[in-house]
Amino acid sequence: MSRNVIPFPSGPGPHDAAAARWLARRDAGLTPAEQAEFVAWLAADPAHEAAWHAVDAAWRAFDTPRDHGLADGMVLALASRRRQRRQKRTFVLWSAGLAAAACLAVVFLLRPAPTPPPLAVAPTPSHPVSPISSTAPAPVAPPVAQPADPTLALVIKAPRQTLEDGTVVELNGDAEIAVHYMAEKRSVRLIRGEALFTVAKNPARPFIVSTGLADVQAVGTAFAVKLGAQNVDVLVTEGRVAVDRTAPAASAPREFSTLVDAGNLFVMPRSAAPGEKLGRLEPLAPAEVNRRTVWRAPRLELSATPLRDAVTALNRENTVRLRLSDPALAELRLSGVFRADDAEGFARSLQSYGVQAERRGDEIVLSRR
Amino acid sequence: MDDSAEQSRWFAAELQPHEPALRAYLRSQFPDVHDVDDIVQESYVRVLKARQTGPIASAKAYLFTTARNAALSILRRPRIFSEKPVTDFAVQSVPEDKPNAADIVTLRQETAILLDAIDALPDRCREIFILRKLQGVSQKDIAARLGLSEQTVQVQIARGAQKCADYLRRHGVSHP
Repeated sequence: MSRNVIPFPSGPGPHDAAAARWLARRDAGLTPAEQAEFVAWLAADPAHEAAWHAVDAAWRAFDTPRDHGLADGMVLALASRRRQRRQKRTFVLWSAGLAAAACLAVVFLLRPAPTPPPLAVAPTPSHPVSPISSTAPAPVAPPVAQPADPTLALVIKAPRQTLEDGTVVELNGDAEIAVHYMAEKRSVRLIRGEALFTVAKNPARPFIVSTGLADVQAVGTAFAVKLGAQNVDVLVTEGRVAVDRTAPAASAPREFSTLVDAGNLFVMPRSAAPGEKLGRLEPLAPAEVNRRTVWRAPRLELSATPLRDAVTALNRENTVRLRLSDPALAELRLSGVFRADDAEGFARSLQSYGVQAERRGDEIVLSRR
Repeated sequence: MDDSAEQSRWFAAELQPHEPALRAYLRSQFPDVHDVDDIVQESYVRVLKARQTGPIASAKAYLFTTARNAALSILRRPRIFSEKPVTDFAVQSVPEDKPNAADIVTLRQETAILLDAIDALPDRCREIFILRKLQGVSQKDIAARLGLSEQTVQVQIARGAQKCADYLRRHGVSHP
């Protein structure tokens, strides 16, 4: 993998602007004559060359995200930052613009604090928006309709990675883990948040997640570990895991004290004293297991987004396709968070806004009632 | 300027015609060197600089020798990350192609800084920069997509590149 070794000079220089202009010209494509001019410019003065190398190295540094498949995530993050800035800025404007936008139908959903991501939020059938006075307090959430600026339909997915042994890790929100694979065991430390592991089977090389409070061992199974403020939770969705207190020195083989089977939640209070029981076992209904792991599903965030764009975004994610039979529907604006992998559910939630959904084979046709 | 124009003419007449042969030579002799563009450009500059200090008998021979030396020096350059001891690494938002551990730590920090650098750009400039660098759209296509002249896009790219370089410099992005 090529790394960017960036030999930056100490500060900005007089040739930076010229170097940047050359960079942009070169990026657009130089004719042979222009290339001759460029090379001559470079050779004319070592300062030209230094300025060029600095701007060129920086420019290349911005290739890293695409080289590593991180660019799409960055685009989303930048769009979301911009949106947040705008929401703050346009809050007052919004109430003014509302009259003009009176025809908008807006689905309002509750959205928790910006991070961690809002999940499992079922679309609540809602209030047509009532005007908010410009003296209203704090210009923060809920997501505000932005009639002046049609916004993106964002599909957001939990980060997901396949580790070298085939184990798949999914991270909820801002979760973070550290991976340390050794010959005799696969060790992962959960640093923050919640992660779900679908572990590749290998009895000779146990897979152990440590949380500081407890270690969770799996052989071939799927489970989520969540670091909460009060408790550490282990939710097993497949197979079985073994849980034990984190050992002071983890070298010797040891017995794990508690076995947790699929469909169970093991809750370990952080306050438990060393002599006390490590935690309690709670059997969960399948629906409850689904609810607790719904953060794995991609979600669609809309913010005064035209239905047309929402449909385009959903159709990219699903085999069942939505189609608008009435062009007027295209401009219907929606806000809220939906599951991006459930086109039917999305269509159903539109019904309370006078939109009729009809399934025809692999297609759901939306029309006005 | 006269000097520079003379250099340009000499370059176009004496060096540029050898470029296809030079590239073919580099690709065949140094298949592990990926940055052929860089070596070619770097070699041009070195030859032009050498010419400022005295006449060059065979521009072609000089060019090829310079390029060969540049390629060799790249091959000798130590790999930056391979020798670092690895204890653990974080994997948030890491893609599927399994880069090595130490890379990932750096990658995460680097990505965060890149994100901030782009975020700090003025609106129009940021929009264009994102299309170009994160979405890989060419300047020409950006112009068409946004209904701007190619000149305008180029100006914004230059501006974005300079500002981002500045941002990285101020935030000390450089590797040992």
